[in-house]
Amino acid sequence: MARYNVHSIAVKIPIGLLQKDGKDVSQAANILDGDFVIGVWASASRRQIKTLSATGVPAYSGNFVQVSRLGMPLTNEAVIPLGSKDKWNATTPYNSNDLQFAPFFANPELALYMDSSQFGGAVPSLNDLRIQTHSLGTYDFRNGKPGLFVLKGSPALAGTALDDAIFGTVLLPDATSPRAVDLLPIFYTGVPNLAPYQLATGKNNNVLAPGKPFINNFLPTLGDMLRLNMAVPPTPRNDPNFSSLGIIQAAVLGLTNPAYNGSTMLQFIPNMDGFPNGRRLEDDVTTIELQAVGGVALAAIGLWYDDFTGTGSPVTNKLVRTISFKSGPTTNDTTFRTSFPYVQNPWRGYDYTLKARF
Amino acid sequence: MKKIINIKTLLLVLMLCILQAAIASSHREAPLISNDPLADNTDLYAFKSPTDAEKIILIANYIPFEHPAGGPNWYSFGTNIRYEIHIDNKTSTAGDDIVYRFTFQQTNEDASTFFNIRLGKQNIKTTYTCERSMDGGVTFTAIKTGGLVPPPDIGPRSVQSAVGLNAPGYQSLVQSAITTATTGEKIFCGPVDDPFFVDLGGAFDVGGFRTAAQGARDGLAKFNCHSIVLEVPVSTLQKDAKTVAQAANILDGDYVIGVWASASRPQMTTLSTTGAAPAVSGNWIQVSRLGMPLTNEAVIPIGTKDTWNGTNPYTGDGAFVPFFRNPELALYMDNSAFGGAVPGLAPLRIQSNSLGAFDFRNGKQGLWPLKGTAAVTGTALDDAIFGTILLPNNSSPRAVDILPIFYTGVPNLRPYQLATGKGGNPLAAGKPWVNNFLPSLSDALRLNMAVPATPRTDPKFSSLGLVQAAVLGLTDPAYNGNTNLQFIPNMDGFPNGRRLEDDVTTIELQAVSGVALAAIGLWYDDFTGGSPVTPDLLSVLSFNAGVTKNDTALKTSFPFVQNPWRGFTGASYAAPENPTLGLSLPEGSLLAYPNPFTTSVTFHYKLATAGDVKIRFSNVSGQVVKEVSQGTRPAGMHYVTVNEARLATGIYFARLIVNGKIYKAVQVLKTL
Repeated sequence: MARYNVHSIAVKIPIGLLQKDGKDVSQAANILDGDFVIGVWASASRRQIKTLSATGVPAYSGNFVQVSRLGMPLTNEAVIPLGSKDKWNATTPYNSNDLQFAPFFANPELALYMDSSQFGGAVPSLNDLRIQTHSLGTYDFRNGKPGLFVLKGSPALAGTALDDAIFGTVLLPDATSPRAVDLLPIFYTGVPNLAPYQLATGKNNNVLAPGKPFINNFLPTLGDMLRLNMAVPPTPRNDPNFSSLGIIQAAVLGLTNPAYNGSTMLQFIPNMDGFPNGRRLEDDVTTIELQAVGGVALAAIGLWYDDFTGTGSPVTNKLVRTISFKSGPTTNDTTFRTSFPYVQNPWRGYDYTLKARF
Repeated sequence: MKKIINIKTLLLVLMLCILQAAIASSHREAPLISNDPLADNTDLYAFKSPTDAEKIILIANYIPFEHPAGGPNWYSFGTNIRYEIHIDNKTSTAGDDIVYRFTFQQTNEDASTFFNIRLGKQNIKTTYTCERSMDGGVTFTAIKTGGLVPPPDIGPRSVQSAVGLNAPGYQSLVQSAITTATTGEKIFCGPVDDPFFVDLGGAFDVGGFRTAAQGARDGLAKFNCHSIVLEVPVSTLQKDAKTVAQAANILDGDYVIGVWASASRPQMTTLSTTGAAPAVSGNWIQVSRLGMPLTNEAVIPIGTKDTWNGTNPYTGDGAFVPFFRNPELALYMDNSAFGGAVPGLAPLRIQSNSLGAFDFRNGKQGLWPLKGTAAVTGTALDDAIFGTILLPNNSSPRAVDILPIFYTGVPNLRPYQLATGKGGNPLAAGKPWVNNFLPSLSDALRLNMAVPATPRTDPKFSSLGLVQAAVLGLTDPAYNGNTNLQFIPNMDGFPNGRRLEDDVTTIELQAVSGVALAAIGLWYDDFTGGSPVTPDLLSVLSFNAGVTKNDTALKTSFPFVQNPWRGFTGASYAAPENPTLGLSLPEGSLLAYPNPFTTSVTFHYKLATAGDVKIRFSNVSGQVVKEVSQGTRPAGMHYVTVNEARLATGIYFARLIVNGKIYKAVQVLKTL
């Protein structure tokens, strides 16, 4: 995308207009107040019927038909398979329409390339990413495996997000949908500030115990949207802790930085305002999503990688390799503007600064 | 005084001409078609095969600005489009005589993946049917079914590796897609490097043409398009099925064809509400067409461009005649109009007082004062011979040159012969150089198939086409000694057909500024009776549009267009294969985290065997700034957190040293 332009629609909106009760941020209970979550998606629609005149001039009639949509980045690029992509574009994310695509999140194709028992060996550029096969000695999150389903119905789940009595069967639908517990909620419901979806900090190796809050963008519409908790403060772009890894970096800081990893207290951790809690222009969503498919969110909440032995630091080789993985370009090819509309002016046709494409 | 130019001037002209270059054709040229790239006909070529005198190469290109890495759904020919190449070969029938029609089909071999190619399976795999009509489009016969379109050249993993198509290379895919129709034509349909070249950013910034030295850049460099390439025997295209060997001479008027290409879509498209393929119905409607390059890009004004694309040239092109008689471009080459406002075209100034009499600026009379005089009797300007097309009225000066070049072709008849031998009278008989006359009064690329090909290795081969043939015919002693019909190199070049190399932008800009008039003896204003190669003429001939050739080599044989640019180039990244890094590596491993760091950084290292461990920091100059001794450590994974708050910010290298030997290095960045 270097040196290419697009057309943007940029809108700056008071939170009081978006919040369901007209509240502004100063009225939020805390920085993860669940009443401040919005789900956002965009679309383009065309008239259903296009009729060309004899000289090729089109006339349009009929209802508007949705031909493109976008909520979470890369869903239709790298999650939905070719045979369903057009249908995905035409579907609205409400009325449980998106549930027909849920299997692609519960067992994502990308995971096949991060699994040595599948096609992992055929994609060496993803060698750094290997999904947990026996996290905590037990849990296998590779496609088709049970994941956390082995806990289904266990009293240990009572009161957690995995308790059917609270959230139904979305997260633990069956014994062969391992990623319904992490990827599916990231894309379809948002993540609640509730066990087990808290950082491992303070959990004392019990993944189901309360940990340190790091996200609450829970809005369970069961549809693909970009979910943002508007109560979370922005990380200043000149903060040394600002990172294009978004929530992943917030998790890293919450687990390893002494400023945050000493307690389970709710604190603002830099980059809690980053993808997938909303999406900032800087966020490296390709890397974040690949790491997420590689199981990094599971690790963040204490479902460590296979090489964690139960003692010592959970920041194991595999975890380090996962969070060190980059998908290549990690920043835009020019700066962003520091004020509205934030996106940069287009490259000029006549004399834009050349950059060798290859 | 047959040699009209001295040898020093000749050399100067030739040197200047070698520096020439050209611009491009019909990409996104009209508002409506710019929204329908799959149907956008970007260029059309028709030329004598340089490898076989009895074959003609026809190339129709579609889909502008294809990024080589433009996935995950790469461009291909559209499935609801008729792509057609039309041929007119005689005046006794109205409209087309031969039509080649291509329609495309697509299948997905593995719809369960989001990849275009995976494990030998190809998605959006495209095949085609070629039908041919020999009765002007009334009846069609399929001459090739199931033709293969090569996949996009995504990258080495998709093309060559076992996880992809496992092909020997992309060229093998191209070669296997070349086929022969049941009727003898050779066919290739597929993605290629876009052979057109033009400084789009300069040209359309209100005529901001610039030289290469001023930064002209090929706006189509490193972009792909889709080509339909046909190699057709001359005898298939010639109206009486004659071969070149049967031609009376190299300008035999019976061997002229007019070629144009088009794309049509069904009249009605109804979108599915569930994302299924749109339903289409109704008649086929022409949405794009191309004959002469740049017609719809730089001649037809924007308010008429869409109409031009939808118009049948045979029945409708009369409506556009005024844009050729008084072309907009001419306003920018005329100091009494907008010439002063377009410095990029300053070298081009139209004759306002040629031979002390003729003014060819827009709205002026041109050759109208000769109308009906005895002097034009027997020439192409004689109403009794050609009617009133060329001299319609007293305010259509370019009906005498630009209009016939685009709409009728140029006959080998006075005054359309080179000035060589004319003795200063443009209406006298001169040296023949072109005959592609096929007066359908419509925009088409006209080619005299009897003209031999100029070898691409000939030192006189030039991308200036007929303009260069004229220069040679006027100045080269090999050709300017008499008015005999001779093959002059580049007589097979634009606008007698169009070769891939031809710099049509430069040629057309020179033509609008009157270079064809000068070639036939209507010299520039500064001609005073001495050498007609005056500073004004040299200025025009020396002008080029900034980019003069394609950004890669053409092929020397069918399909002549070059393979497409590959999406993935450069070194492929492969992370270490063993996900438990270092376990099997005797030299151990070292990782740093977090990186970049601010105050402390944690190192993880793994030892295959026990050893004395040090971690050594050095700066980018190689100076050791810190060393951390770990003492003797057993085999296995170890962690050490190092406080580096005192180090200056910057890049450092941390090295794992075991028993005095450096094993691994990692780069770490300290930030504030």
